Amino acid sequence: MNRTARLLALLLGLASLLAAVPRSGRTPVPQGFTVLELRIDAGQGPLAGWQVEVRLRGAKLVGIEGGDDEAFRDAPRYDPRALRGGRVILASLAAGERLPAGEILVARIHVLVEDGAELGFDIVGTETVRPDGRGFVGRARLALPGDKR
Amino acid sequence: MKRLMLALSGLSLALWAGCAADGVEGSAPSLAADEVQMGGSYRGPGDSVPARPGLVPELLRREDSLDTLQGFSAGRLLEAKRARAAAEPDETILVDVEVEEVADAEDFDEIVVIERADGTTSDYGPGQYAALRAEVEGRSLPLPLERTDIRGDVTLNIASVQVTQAFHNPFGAKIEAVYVFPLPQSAAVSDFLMVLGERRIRGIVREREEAERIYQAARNQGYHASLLSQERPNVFTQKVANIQPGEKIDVEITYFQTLEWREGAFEMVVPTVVGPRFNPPGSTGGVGAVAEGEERSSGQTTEVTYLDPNRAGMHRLTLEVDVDCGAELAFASCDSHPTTVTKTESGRTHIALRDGEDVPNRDFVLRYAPAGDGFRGAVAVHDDPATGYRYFAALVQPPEVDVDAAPQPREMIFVVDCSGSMSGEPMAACKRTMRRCLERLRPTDTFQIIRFSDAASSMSRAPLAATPANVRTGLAYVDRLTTDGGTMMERGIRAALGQEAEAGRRRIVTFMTDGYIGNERDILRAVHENVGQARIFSFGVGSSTNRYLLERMADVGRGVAAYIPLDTDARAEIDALYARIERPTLADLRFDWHGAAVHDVEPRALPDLFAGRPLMIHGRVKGELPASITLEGKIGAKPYRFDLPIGAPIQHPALVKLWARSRIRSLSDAMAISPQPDEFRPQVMELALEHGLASAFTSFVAVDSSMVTEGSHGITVTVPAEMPRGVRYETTVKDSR
Repeated sequence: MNRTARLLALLLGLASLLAAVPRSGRTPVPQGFTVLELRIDAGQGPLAGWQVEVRLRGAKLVGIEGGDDEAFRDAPRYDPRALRGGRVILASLAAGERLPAGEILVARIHVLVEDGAELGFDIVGTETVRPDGRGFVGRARLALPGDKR
Repeated sequence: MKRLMLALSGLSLALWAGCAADGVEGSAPSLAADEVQMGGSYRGPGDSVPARPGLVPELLRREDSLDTLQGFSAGRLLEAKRARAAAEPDETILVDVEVEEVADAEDFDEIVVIERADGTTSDYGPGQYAALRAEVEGRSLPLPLERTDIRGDVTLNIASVQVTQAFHNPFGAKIEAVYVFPLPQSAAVSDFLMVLGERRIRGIVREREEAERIYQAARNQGYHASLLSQERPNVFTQKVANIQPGEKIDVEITYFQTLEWREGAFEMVVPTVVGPRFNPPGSTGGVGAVAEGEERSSGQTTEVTYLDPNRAGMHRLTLEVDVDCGAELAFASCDSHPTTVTKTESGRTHIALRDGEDVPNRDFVLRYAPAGDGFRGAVAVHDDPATGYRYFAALVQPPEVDVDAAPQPREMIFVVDCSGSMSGEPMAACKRTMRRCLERLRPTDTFQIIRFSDAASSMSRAPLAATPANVRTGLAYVDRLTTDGGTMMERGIRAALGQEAEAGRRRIVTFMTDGYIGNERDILRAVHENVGQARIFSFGVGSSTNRYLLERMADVGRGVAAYIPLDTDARAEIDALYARIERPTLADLRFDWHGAAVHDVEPRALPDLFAGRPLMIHGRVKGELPASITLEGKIGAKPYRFDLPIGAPIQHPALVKLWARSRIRSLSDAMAISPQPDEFRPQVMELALEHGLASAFTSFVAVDSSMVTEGSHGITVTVPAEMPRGVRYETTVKDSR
């Protein structure tokens, strides 16, 4: 199995295969549209791909945008089947040869907070891979812009 | 070049001065949206601004004399002069214009008036809609949609197509752009991106009403947002909200499609314009056709605005397709557009518009075939880890069978659309086709010609024997056909199918039409209810026919559809029609999968097989497909079996979505002719949501929630479509069909 196929196989796995590393935030925000920033700490090594399951409460997904790094600028994919079941599973493979390391803003998640609801969000699981297709425990963090927690 | 832009809003003018650029960028004619919303000059449904004929000239040139500026009083023009003189370069100013003479306009190389719709009577609120007209010395200014770029990637017969619509706001105020456009009726629309500069925001498939609510909320709150909704399987509406002055927003749509094999080649059709549709009186759910300045006047839920053909549009089309058949191509050709065909370094065949771009006013039709001794079928597979199924698409074609049987006498009924949209070139093509059809009649046939527009009438009270004298009568009848009025197709259907066929004769009904109607469901239901034992062959006549309707009519009538371009003698198409009629049809089809666990094959009800038209099926299997499948059927009363080997399949990841799209199509087809169409909604919606596809009940929505644009959502601007090539504006749009 070549590198790309291994990466794809990893990224196409479902949430049951994900390492559960819950991170949560409960910052009240005004009603309406807001954006959440998804960061992954890849440690010292390069990040070649990721898949994250996000649990949203009181909000609907209305758009998915890539991150700041060139390798993850393209909009991540989402799993429509999971979304149908109320789960948000996002994934992206790095583009290009220069892969980032350290903490990387990999996606902006655009949501609409429902009327009268309080926005809540968790990361249910994270899967991260190196260029050779090996998985590693990357830490994912989801936050409102400017929230450094 | 200096350019003076005037935007007229009822009694006031907004004036923008000092644009130095030649091109599109940086030029910002003012739409004066805020002014319109604040002032009382906008004409909405409740407004009572009296009509002032000739108030708004569409074009002012510096050489224009005052005489040409109808409706501009001397006093008003004087104020414009003062406003211009006081303006700084590149400054936008809004004034109520009072100008005395136009001579001062000599300071400008161009003067453009952007007209606000006058006399609008539909039910939208103040400040929401405007018709924009702008033209400079014979060429139009860019309107909100600058360009549509289409990139196709074909592997054998599976096409992946990316459509990029480049929206741009050339005006001085924020706008919402609305564009009604076509896609192929079998397209599985599966991806949607809103692109703002380098930022790419992927849209989400939502239940249609929910997507619309999200979009409206984003639009009203000033967020960039876009919404893609399916109006018909081949008609979509794109909305892009809060495009700021000078801003560009692209929308990228990706669809997959399995291409059919037709008369010796795979055929890829990319429609580029929705033809002007007729809607029967009293209908509201159709697709309206209106002229610029008459937006929202059709009374239909979907509406296409058309450019006056005397005014050149600036919307351009670029189109490129790469084809990889895994082998050399015998040929790749496009009769609809001038193209170049080249071989890439990777061995693919690259087809592109010869001049780089074209006007989006007709279908792009590419035909290609792999080299070799005849097409034997094709199979593509994809293993889906989420479901554990192997999805497949197979194009199966049984060998031709020599059947020694006396030909059955036929009753040939030709139904000709003589509505206004067929006037000119389409009717000329139709007459050529009809002549060829009549020449090909057999002495044992009977025939009838029925014309319809507002009403239906026939050549004779009953079908005539195809004697030489009667054929001459038919030819003379065809020569006398004229066009006028609406497309009351249902009357044509009932006239053709309402009477019993003569005993012992096989009834063949051939429809010749552009299919420009907005009540497809009514038509399909009428065909379904009346078809009986007849077979229906539909001929799409024109450059951009309603292929959804034509294909579905043929499906319901157990025939096939074919298309007659405007500049053909139709000989090949008619010969193919007669070949299909005269050769045996394989009916009552059934597949034997040789024990393989094959499920959910689409189409569920297998059609009859005609020569030259192989059957495309989608399905899924647990495990492997067998090395061959057996197709069983009957020719007449005699059973036949064909073992069809399944060759080495190609792999294609789109097959899951294509299977889902095929299933949605089956459900939608059943829904179209069902007295209880709502029963199908949950199934269609579930499939579409699960597979991330656009459908009648699901839409894509994308919102950029990271920033709010200033001001209100601005004015909604519909993107006018080109008139389809060969279709007359006067008889389709301007005569308030």
